[in-house]
Amino acid sequence: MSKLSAISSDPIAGTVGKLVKTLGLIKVAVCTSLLSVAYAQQSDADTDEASPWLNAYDQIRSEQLIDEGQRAMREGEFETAERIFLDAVQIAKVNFGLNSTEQRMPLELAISAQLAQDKWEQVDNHFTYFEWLNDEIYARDFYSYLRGTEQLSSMLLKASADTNNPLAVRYLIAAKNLNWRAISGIEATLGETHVELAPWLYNIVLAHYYQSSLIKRHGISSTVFRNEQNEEVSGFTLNKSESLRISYRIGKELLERIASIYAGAQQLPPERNAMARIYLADWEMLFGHQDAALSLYQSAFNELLANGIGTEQANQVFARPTVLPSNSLHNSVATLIAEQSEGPIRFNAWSPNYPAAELPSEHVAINTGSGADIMALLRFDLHPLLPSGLLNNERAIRLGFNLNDLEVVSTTPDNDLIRERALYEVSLLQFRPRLENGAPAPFENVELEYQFPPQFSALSVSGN
Amino acid sequence: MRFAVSIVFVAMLTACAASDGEKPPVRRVPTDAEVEAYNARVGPEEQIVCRREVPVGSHIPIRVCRLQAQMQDDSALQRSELRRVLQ
Repeated sequence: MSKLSAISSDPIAGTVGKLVKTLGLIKVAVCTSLLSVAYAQQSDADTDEASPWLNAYDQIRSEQLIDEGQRAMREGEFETAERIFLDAVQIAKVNFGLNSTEQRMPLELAISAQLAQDKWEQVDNHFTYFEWLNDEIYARDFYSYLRGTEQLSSMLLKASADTNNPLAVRYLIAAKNLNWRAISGIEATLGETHVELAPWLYNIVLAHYYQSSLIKRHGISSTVFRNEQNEEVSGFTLNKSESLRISYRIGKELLERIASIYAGAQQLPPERNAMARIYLADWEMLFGHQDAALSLYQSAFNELLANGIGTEQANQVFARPTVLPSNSLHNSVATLIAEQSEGPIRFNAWSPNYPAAELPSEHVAINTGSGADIMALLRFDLHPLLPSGLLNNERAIRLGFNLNDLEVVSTTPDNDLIRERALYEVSLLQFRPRLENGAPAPFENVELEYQFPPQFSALSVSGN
Repeated sequence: MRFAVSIVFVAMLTACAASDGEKPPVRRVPTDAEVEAYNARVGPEEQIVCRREVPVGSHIPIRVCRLQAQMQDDSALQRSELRRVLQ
């Protein structure tokens, strides 16, 4: 007989056996629960330690990644930064959706890191993705689309300014086309005379100025077509003078359109038309039409007075030399005067690709770090050349505003090459002339602090 | 006499103009900015190119706008014709 059957046959022994069995079960249950608690505590501890990985798609982590990536960018670790930003893009996709606006910021930063490494193919792919994403956003949120367009346009300009970029011209044209598409969107959504159009139109005017400075240096391909293999290839090239004439005409037409938009915008200050005329005059000046420019400046001055602006304030508009083209479009005297600063004029050159063009904004500055400390202080006079023909009672009159007595005061670092280059670069600059009571007047002892573009050293100084 | 001839000439011109009935629609050539705005919205095949050309038999340049694809086709045709003639 087995031991168990013997126990079960005895009632006392059976009770004890049942008790033992019950106690055993309780013990097992207690042990199991204790183990479960211990396991749970251990699991919690593990989760706390590994939370960044288990919660990889948490937005907090995305923001942390962006901070981390920006730190890597500051330290010049562009490859690490690129990887981190691309991770942040994936997190934004998972958290907010495949067409989410939240992807744009990490994507912009990733492109920035790729630009710093000259990874042009990846840059190109991400530009295409950004554009697709922004077009998807258009139908959902028009103003968000405009912000995205602004972001992408800045990135394209930044890429076009990079001297290592083999597709610099293509990116400039792409930025310009993007602005045109934004204008079409604004026209369709807000109307063809909406004041929101003005800054976008002015962006295209500036793009034409940059394009004309490229044209002056080398030919620019004007057409693109598909060949038999369905590849996009560059077509015929317009000649230099024809390209310049087209840029001039487009710029003029757009500035005239800004003037007509301002004319109908009652909510803007009364001097808005005079201000628009100043920009039109600037454009004439940039393309060497000094007579037309002076006539427009003078009519703008008179219009300012007619709009109730005092003579002193009107003089102040023209009291400080302004390097042309101005990067900001003002429609009031107060904002224009507020932008003028005391001391030497500061000119941050943008890129060796665009000589005589000032850095439009920090968003389009090239991230190489080199050359940022190369600068020169120059002094010169700016004289309206009196028309010699007029003095001799002849018909041929050509008025110009030229730099006189241009000299280098100091350079950092002190270097003959930098002195020479500073003289050359500053001689390319065009200035808005000074008007005193509506008549051209000289500027004496103008001081200008010329900051060389970031890639200047790579081109010249290091090779010296 | 000269006055009478002038009157007749003017009358003839007026008659010509009047016989046309309604004025034909004016075909305005797009401005450079309009061309650029259009080209920014379409693919390479649909883009147009405008330039000043001097037509045969005149010294006065006129602004001509063409589809880029059409210009490519014309060039290809002319090239092939030239090759055929030279063979």
